[in-house]
Amino acid sequence: MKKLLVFLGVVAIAFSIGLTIYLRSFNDLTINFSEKSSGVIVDVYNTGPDTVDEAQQINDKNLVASDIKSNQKLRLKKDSYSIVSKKNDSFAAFNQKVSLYQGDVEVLVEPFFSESRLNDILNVNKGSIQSSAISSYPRIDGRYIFENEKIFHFGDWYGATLKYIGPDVNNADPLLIVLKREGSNWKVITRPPSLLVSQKDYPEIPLDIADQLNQRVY
Amino acid sequence: MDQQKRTRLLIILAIVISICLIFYAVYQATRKYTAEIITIPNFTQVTIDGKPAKAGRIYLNPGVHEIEGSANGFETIRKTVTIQEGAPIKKITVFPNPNSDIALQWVDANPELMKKRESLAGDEAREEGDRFRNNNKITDQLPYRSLIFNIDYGISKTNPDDIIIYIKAPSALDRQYAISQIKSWGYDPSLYSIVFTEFSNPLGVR
Repeated sequence: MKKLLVFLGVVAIAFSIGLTIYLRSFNDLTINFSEKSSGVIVDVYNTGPDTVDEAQQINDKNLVASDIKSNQKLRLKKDSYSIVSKKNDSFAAFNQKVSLYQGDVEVLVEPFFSESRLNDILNVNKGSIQSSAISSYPRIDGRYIFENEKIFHFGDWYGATLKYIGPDVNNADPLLIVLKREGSNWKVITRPPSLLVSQKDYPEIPLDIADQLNQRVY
Repeated sequence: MDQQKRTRLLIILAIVISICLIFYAVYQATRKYTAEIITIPNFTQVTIDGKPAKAGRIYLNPGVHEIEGSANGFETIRKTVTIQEGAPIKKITVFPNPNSDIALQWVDANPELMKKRESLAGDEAREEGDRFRNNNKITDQLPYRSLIFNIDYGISKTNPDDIIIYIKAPSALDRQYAISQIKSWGYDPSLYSIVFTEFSNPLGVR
């Protein structure tokens, strides 16, 4: 009887240890959708460690959850995952890699707007954006023309090149201008529009926008 | 109290003390310090961003801080330091300069401390130099002079850890070449504050 009790005790301890190890091999991945991303559907892929080519891992074989449309919590094995949504008429593609090795992770799904949607926003707002820029810098009028205009991210950033058409040949460089939407108004951020958009000078301007604008000139 | 009870009590006491020591060690190991203030003379009064502070290890938020050290008979010293997130503990020396008879008497009476002070100040200057070069690797390439443009740098007035790049180029095309040169070294111009010294912006200055 005593031997049986000892045996059962050992089995219980071994089972507890095994169960603890098993339960500790999982973490939570919480997927939240922002208000801007209504209509976005994401899939979750197990993409493995960083050394593995992530693009090759995004296939049906590694799909762990699909068609996620609203906030959801998934309990997944400690590993690396990609939360992916394909681009559509309204949104650009979204791909965020996360690692669950260190603990639970929360991801905010917030893909940027699609190019066509951003172009529509540009067409609607172009007049008010240019008016706002000219009212802040009246010398733009007659000296510069707006080129390469683009709306970025969620339709809240605008960038353009100001091509010089004035008489000063020594200072005829194209200038870069960035405006940000604030409510229904557009506010000039690059004060004044300059040769280069520097994130050091304008930390509020996202780096990818600064890079895209600078690359058009340099 | 019999022998057995006393032994048991001692064992419990030892366990409690061990647990306390482990907790203290874990607390010390995980406690976040970001800076160590070293003062010479030791009666130096320190303020950080205008608030009184003590010498020794402290927690300072990442960012730029104004440090001031004053001691009776010594010239008040002011310095700007930058605490970087995740960086090792930064040693900040606060050594007011002796500039009165009382201070000079103190110096004569404390030659060892003065030696330590010089050594620490030297270490700090070396560390600052290494850190600055690591944070601004582009300075390895500068100053750069070509036939059509020059690229140089200066220290930012608002943050001594930052640099401002100065490009001297007479025409729009030359300025573009200068930026291309920076890109060819593998640096992203968007990440730098760049002043074009020969460009007069028709829309005004910043």
